[in-house]
Amino acid sequence: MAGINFQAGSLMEYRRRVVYFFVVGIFMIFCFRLFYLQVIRNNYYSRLAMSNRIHRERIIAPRGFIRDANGEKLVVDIPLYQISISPNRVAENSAELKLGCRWFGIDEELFTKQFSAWKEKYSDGREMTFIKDADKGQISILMENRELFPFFNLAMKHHRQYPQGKLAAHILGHIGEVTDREVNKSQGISPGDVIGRMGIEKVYDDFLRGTDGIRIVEKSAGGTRVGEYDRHSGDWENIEPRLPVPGYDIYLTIDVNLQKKVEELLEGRKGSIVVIDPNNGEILAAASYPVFDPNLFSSGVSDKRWRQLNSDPDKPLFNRFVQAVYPPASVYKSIVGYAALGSEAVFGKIRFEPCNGGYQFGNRYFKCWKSDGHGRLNFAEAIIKSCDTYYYQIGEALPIDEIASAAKLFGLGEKTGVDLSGEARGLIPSREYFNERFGKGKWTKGHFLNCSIGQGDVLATPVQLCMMTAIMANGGKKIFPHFVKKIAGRNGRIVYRGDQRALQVGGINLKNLNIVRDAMERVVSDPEGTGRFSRVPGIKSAGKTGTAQNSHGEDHALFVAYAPIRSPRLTIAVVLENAGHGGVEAGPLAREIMIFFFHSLSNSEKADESG
Amino acid sequence: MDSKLVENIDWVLVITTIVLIGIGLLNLYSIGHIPEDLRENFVSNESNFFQRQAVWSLLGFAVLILAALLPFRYYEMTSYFFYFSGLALLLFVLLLDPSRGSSRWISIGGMRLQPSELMKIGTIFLLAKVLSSKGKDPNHLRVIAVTTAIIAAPFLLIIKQPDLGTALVFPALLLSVLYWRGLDEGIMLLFITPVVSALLTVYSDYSISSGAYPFPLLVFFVMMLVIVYRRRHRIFQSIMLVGVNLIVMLIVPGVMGRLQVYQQKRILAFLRPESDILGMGWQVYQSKMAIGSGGIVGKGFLSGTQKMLEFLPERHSDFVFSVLSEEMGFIGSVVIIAFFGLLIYRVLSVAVRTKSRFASLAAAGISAYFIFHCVINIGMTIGLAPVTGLPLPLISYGGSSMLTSCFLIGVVLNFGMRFYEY
Repeated sequence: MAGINFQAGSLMEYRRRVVYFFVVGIFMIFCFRLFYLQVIRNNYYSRLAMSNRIHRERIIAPRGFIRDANGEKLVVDIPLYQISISPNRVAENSAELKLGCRWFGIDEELFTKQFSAWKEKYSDGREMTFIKDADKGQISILMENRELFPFFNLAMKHHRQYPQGKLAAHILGHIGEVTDREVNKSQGISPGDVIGRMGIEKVYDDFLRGTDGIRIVEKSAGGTRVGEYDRHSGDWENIEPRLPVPGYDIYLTIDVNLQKKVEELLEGRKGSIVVIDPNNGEILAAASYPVFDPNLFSSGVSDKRWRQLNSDPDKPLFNRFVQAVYPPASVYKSIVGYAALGSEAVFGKIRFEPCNGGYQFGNRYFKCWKSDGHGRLNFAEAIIKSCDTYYYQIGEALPIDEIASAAKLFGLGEKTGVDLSGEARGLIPSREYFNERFGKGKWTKGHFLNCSIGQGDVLATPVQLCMMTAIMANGGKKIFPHFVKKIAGRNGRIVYRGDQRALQVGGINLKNLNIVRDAMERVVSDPEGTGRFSRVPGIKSAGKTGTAQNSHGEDHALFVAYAPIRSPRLTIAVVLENAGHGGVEAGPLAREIMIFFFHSLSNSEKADESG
Repeated sequence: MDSKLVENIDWVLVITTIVLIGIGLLNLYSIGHIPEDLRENFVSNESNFFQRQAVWSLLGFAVLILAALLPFRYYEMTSYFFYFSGLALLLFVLLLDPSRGSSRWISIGGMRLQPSELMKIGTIFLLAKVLSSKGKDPNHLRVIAVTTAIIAAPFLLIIKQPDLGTALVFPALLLSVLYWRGLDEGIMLLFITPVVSALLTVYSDYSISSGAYPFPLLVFFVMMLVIVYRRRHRIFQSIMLVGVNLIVMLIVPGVMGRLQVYQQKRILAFLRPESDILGMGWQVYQSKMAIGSGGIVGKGFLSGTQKMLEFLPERHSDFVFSVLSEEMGFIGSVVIIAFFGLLIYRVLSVAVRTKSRFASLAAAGISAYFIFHCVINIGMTIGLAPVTGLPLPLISYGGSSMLTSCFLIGVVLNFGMRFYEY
């Protein structure tokens, strides 16, 4: 019968029998097993199956809190009881539903309308929220009348609350419900989950989000929950429900009181203020105005409100301190001045003309902001009085790439790496940039002149300006601006710390930097200094004003400052959109911040001493 | 058609195939069917599986007839083509979109096909072709190396997908074809037993640490002793066999200990689904409940209740046997297993009857294909085999699996019709 013989004829027969034996053996084992499951254990499994509505239920882990530097709560996760309704199990006009509305104090007509709209929108029978935050009375009504209202479900939800309202909204960000696409894209996210959409909530979402737990519950045939599964009743003794692990708590570097003060100062204006500790990069306060209320997003923002927020011409959702770029204007003179001091092309090479209100360059006349002129000035006076004519002449002589590399030393033209999303890079023009923009040889030195007073193409974010000032203040040390001081578990274990390093920047000439710093000090202290309105009696500070011309109307007012001169404690950058002159408009705000900061500092130090 | 060919058609195999496909279709219909009183509460997204599978079945039958008609020499001639186009497609899906997590599919005009299925056909043909030349001694190291290389490529590519279950089909194919070609049983055991030792060691390690008796390991030990005693005339080989196994048993716990915790957990969950009751174990738990509640005669067609429950995602594919078993009971389950036994028996008969070496080896490989899929899939649903994504041939929903199974059966019919050809 065998067709071929690979080896000996008998071997093939033998091997065939081995294979049959093997297959029949396994299939017999399967049949025995089936007999065991279906005949011997049938009763047990039938019982399980009949009552089997053993389900896995997810226990949603609470999201981590966000606190300020002193532990004050800025964002909390509060549990609330929500009553939802299963559309498939009740008709809109049923008597029970009407009764439910009456007992729970819900407007019957309005609800019926919403309910039928919901049914139409979601044909898959998903649950609709009936009462978002049920109080004790409502919960007990439901619990006592379970049979009457089988279509209502009670569940504990977490609600994201921002107890301080709009305070620090751009830093904290907000949350939002996940989209269907996100659910499909990554594991561990289920429909109805929330995730950080902006700010710290978004950037540190992985830390804030906890690990969900699982509980095993038994439900009756009707779908109502009977109770938690008794692990000793089945043969699955190692059913181990998993407890939820709450997310990590985040401690910010900002101080609530300073933040409040800063936001107060911005009230009613458009712009932003950043305050950084120049010793370690901690951002002590940062505000952008106008602002929004993140609480709006916690309960699902309505389409209408969302559109309103988005189409507002003042852009309240826009985070001005990291996302907006402005011409630094005269603030940039500190950089250009520093570059000029280090260059061989300026001092000793050119003879500075006195300022008579402008500078003739070829066939173009570049105006100084002071139309009647500053007269003859030295280097320090040019910064103190912020003379444009002086800087046009520097711009003419100084190769622009030297300015660009000086700007780079102070962190301009590059992202600071601050821990918020959407940070703008800013722009520091160089020869290469002009070649790219206009084509080789198609631009003139006239462009340089504008850049040397921080106009033209030069752009920077408020955080960059503040960091630049901080590097000047701390004696040329690079810092890493950050909002998160530390991240810790509920047990206090710290899993992350903000980057507190301050690294000496190679290539910064401290002698030249000190010359610029001395001039910046006199910007504030000199009776003719443009920053004199920021002067605080008893505290020596340094600063630089800027008044940025722009195509959107009135000038932007800018001011950067640090204080005290010796061992600085804070750096401030103020940018007010369309406000006017930097020294006049922005300077006084910096003054208020310094007064507040040093006042509360001395208070707390006094308290420390007496305590 | 040649009347001689018609005369040689294996009608039993044809009818078995039709019956199994029919059962599969009825089962899919039942899965999509929701009792009237529950219709309000459930929205089925599975009612169209039946219709789609019906189309696949018709296509499959056409493929079957086509595969039976071509002279089988063509398969021998084109085995390289099958093999390398399979490899190319596997590489393609792997490189195409690794970000989406599961790179097992390729879309052609809206149909999703699994290249690994084509790969199985190509591997069977190529192994059969390589081993069919007269001088090839399967006990020769070079032959073993070449054939191992043939399966290594698809094995590694599919592991990378990652799909361990499907990847393991390939070593199984190799061993069975080599065995059929006359591989010495001692060498065969040298291949198989270390793997079994490794798995059992891990399994027992867990059993002991949870206070249970390492029963399977003891059984394995006794079996080894019997084998060594029976093969005492090949003393050197026997010593090696025992030595290799002992080394594996000693090394494996150390290797396990060095793995990351999540990797350890995954391996354990594979071997003991109960240890991961909230993950893989959940499906097995639900499956056992469905099967066990079926009883002797089952709950009847369309009347299963557990099929509604939570292991939903795979009930039409991987856990299809659970639904069948719930509705048709112990008797129905045994009948289905018997039909699969009959199918395997008829395929093996062809392997014995044909005069062509290629056909014989290919038929042996095809029988291994059906044996491996049935054993792993059914074993999984009753908690006797690890949870993998292997479908139940002809029954599970899925076009690729259906077309492959039909094609392979067509090829076997072909061999049978031309058994006198060399």
